[in-house]
Amino acid sequence: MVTVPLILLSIPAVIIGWVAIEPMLFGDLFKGIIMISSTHDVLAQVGSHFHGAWSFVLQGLMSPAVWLAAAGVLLAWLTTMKFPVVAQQAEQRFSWLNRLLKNGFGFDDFNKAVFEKGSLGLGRGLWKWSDLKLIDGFMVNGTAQSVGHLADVSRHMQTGLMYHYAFVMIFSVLAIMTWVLFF
Amino acid sequence: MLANWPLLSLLVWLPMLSGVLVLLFSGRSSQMARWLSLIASLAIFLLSLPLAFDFDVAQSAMQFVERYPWVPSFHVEYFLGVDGISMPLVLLTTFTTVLVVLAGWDVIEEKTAQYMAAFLIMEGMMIGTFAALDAIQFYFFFEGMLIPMYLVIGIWGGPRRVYATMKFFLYTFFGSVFMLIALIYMYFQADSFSILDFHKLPLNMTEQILIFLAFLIAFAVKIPMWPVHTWLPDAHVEAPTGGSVILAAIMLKMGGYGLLRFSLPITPDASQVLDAFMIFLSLVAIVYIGFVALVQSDMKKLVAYSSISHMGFVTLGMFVVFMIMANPVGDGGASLALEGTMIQMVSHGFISAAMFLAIGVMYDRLHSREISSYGGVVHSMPIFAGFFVLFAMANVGLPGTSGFVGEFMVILASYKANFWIALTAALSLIIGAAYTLWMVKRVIFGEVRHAEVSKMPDLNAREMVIMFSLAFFVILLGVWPDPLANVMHATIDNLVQHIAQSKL
Repeated sequence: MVTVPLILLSIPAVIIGWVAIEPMLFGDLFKGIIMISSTHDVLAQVGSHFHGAWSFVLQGLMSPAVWLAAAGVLLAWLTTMKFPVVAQQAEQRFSWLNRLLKNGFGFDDFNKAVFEKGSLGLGRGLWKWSDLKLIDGFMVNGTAQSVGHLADVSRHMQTGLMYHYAFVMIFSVLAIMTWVLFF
Repeated sequence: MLANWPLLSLLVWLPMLSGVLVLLFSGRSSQMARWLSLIASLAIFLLSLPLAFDFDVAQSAMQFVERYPWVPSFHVEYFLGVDGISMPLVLLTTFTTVLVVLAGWDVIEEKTAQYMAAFLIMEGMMIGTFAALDAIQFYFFFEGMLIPMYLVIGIWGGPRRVYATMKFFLYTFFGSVFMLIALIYMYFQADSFSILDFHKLPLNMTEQILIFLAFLIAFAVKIPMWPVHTWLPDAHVEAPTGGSVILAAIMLKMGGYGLLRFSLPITPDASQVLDAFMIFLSLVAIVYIGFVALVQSDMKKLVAYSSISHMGFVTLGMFVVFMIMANPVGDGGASLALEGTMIQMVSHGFISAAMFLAIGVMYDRLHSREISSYGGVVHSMPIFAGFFVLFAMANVGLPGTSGFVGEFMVILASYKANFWIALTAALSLIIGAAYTLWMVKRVIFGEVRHAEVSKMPDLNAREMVIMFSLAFFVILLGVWPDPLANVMHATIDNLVQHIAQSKL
């Protein structure tokens, strides 16, 4: 289903690449637009060995990377399609390697255990202990409760008995006079 | 034509008068109250547009100024005006109010007139706060708007609404008391309540630090900053959708606006001395609150925590300015930080409003805010799912959306101040992506786990209008933030020059 669109897309891709490689990568198309430090100018290095699109393709095909990739494809075809028994035996003999590769070197498990569970644990801890218990429970609601308790205690001072009030007034006057005279 | 009109007075008082008018329909025709509110809010929004069109971007001084004596014996004035900082926030307020009226259209069936009136009155108070240039007038509007919001949460809120309203009211009222004391102190020094006179007031370091702390208590609660933030998740969870939208989109901005209008220009030396403390609190808000958002099972609570985290960028941008000015690297770092702060405030206004409205759309259908109640919403509401994913991406700070611009500018400016501050702030992008996209995954995608979800109808025409208008601004500001930044340039440059000069 996607074969035809892919073929149709690949044709202009090859043509545009063929025509545009020289002006785009080694020409003046981006002059004054993209600034590259002379010490990091990799394309200039490549450009010094550029002798047209055809020789570029040939040179590319001769590079070890292409041969290694082709060898990989061939090996995969041989071991899975042509001689599947090789793949099965390799899977049994090197089961630990198979598991390691299948699990992506354990990075997913590591991410899950450390980042996912760690973040959720941290978030839960901060929310429950800091937000709910310390800030809301102790500081905010705690202040409200303290005011309530203080009011509860201080209301007992209002006894309605005249001699209590008189005693407090006399004691207060005495305390103020002591403060003024001796301190 | 409108050049000689008292535009700001109209924008302050017309919503309140409309609110009173809508109140007359209490217990009579709900439909009439709805239409009247919509017409009024639309008219007020249209009336606010000349503020943008006739605004002189080259000027840093206050524009559309109206100044009359109010209580002459105490030098209290009726003094209104806007600059590049307040004008965008006034427009954000008038725009958001239209959406709130639309959002409550079918949903609020009880005491509809009172509900709509509360929002209209609140709109006038909020515009008054942004436009007030007299400190007493500012205080009047700043406190006044608590009353309609108190009623909105207390009457139309959820099961724990009484606890939430009390907490909201006491928290914010407690903070404001210190601000009032600072304003009165400055009145005795300046013999005027004009905020512009306060800017010129010479103050020694002790005075500056005490005044800074007084303002900080008031504005930190409003933003809210860690550790005075715990009222916001409760208020959001209990508030009706409209209340959450106004809280997140406008009211939180009052805190940021207050710091820009009062703290920075009045106490620049104290701001500089305490910049590390403020940056620390901002980074704690950004990172700590991000982790807390991650474990929320209630969508509204998650977005509320996300708001606190995003508002951390606002305060971060304001106070890295002082570090940048102490060690200037290249040009424009300080202006970049403050412009990033302002763009972040406006952008967060759109995105948080969109998120709360989107959650409201789902709540109206299923009456649950729990993430676990949903799953596979895209199967029954594909159009809504598209909008929700867009707003979620904007909340994450995806390039091309408004969420990216402000955060990017603040991170860039922070880099000029200190690499580690920028790195810590940038962490929020990862944490933000984690909690937002995880919510999207559990709510929007996957299998339909509850039969009710498959019966949820997609957006109706009214909801489409709301979602589309917000999506329009989220993308417009994301790809073309220049017009907004241009409005602020002159004012921000002037502010940077002002705070660079010591008052000592």
